[in-house]
Amino acid sequence: MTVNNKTGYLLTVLLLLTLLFLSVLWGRYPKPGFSSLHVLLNDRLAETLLWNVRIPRIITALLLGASLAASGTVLQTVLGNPLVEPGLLGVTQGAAFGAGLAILLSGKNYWNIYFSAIFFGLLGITFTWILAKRIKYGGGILRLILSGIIISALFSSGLGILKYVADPRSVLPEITFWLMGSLSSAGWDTLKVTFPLVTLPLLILFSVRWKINLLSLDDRTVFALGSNPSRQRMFLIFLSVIAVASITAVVGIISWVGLLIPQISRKITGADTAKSLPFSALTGAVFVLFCDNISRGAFSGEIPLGLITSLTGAVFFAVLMSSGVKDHLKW
Amino acid sequence: MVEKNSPEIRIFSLTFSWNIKDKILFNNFSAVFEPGKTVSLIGPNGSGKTTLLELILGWRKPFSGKILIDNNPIDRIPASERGKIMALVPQEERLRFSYDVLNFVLLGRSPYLKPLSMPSGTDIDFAKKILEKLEIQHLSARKVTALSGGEKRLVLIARALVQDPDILLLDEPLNHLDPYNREKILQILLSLKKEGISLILSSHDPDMVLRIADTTVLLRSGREPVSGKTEYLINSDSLSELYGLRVRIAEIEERKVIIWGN
Repeated sequence: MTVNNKTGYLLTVLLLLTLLFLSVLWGRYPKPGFSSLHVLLNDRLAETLLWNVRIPRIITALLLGASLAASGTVLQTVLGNPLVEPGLLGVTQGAAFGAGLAILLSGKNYWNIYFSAIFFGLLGITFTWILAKRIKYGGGILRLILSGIIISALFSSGLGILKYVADPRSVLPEITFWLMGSLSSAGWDTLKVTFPLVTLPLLILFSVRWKINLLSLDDRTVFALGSNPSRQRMFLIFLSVIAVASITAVVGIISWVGLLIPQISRKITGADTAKSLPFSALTGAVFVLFCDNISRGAFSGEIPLGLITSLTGAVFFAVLMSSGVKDHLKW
Repeated sequence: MVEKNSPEIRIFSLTFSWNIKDKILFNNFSAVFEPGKTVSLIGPNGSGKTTLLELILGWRKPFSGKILIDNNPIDRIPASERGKIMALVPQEERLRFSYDVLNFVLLGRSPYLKPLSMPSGTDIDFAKKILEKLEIQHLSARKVTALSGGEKRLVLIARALVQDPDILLLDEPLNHLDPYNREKILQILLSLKKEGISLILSSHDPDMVLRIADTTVLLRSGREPVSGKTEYLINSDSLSELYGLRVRIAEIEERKVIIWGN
């Protein structure tokens, strides 16, 4: 599949704008389905819902999609592994454990949840990295994945313990609902904290988008090209993890976006991260917004977003992997 | 092309081994590589050819001793400056993503770019000029992962030349290539030499070394390396000793040809 880059961008931006507009009109109040702007702005309750619930939720969905997809692209590139996503490296499970711990210990204090989620997200990827260096089985890519599976499993069993000891009447439902991955708790209050924590790392990643390419090469080559491979790699991973962990703190575990969207973007724009990174962020935003619209409005009750992204993501991925021209990569 | 003012490389009392317990690869090894000259490193497998290239590059740190580029210790030269002076053409490179050839060789511009900037039109033109020079401009839209061995080697050379280096380090540049591509790359290296770029190449191929190298370092496993003028250093006795094999050198149409074994 080769699409002219400009056409690809234009189409995605157009899709995003259309989707944005439709998302604003879409919901379950005043009636299920689409309501006209006129109706929404003339109904007192609908207007309040629009400004205080729907719009912050749409913004959070966009941030979520952009950050998962962008950090997926960055992690895949700098770890030289196209099968990596934040969830496979212990970041998401670490952040989930951190958030669970914070809810258990201090209730719904957003700052505590954020701090704890980011801290444990970073801890998760650090453990994965350290363990991968020690595993004596398979090549670098396999070692990293294996190690990520182990660390993720450790954190998720830790989370299981937290749930076990949590008060089933108050704290447990809180943790469980949070874990299913949903944007229903997103509002202006959460956005106030999330917005800078997500956009700032994303902006920095955007501004170094060309240099990220360099880190896909062997360490010695990166060095010969006049850079410091390990320092730069750590810096880029750190930024991606901050973005993912801060959004995970609000919405819980959303899988597949970080794996699928970067793969699709690379197929369309080519491997060059100067093009694939912004395209991936944009596509991720469109994808998550679309999934969240299904989540909040397609059925009479809310379906967790995480469920919809995994369902559509897995199907898409299967199609993607078995279609198109054969790639000549060996790994 | 403007003639290069290549720096002098001075290896001073270099000592290196992989581990403290391992055999010492280099023990107080010293040598001077003059500006613009071609140096070949030859020796059997495991004698430290690639390691010496990596030490000169600064990628590995010696136990003791120094490597000076125009009297500046290599580990004191800032990374991006180093990237402008010296480039490496590896023997193999694992490619994880299907970059277009042009985008791939453009990565060679990175030492010249500020942290937040992207390659400019001038950078792209420079990269295209290098592809033309190596006669591989027709590959520029191809995927690096879909290239043949010879094409890939040319692309790796192109990326190094896009760094516009004064010193080019090449790890077995002719290895695993067919005769056509070997000759093609050898001609390219000869023309780079004419431009005044210092070439340091490791090789298993004394025929090629005799055609291009001014200076040769014989890396003799377990013994002191010897360096000197190629024409004096490469002879049937030294090669026999180096590889533990009978070697004869014949001359056909004014070119020396090595005959290996009995």
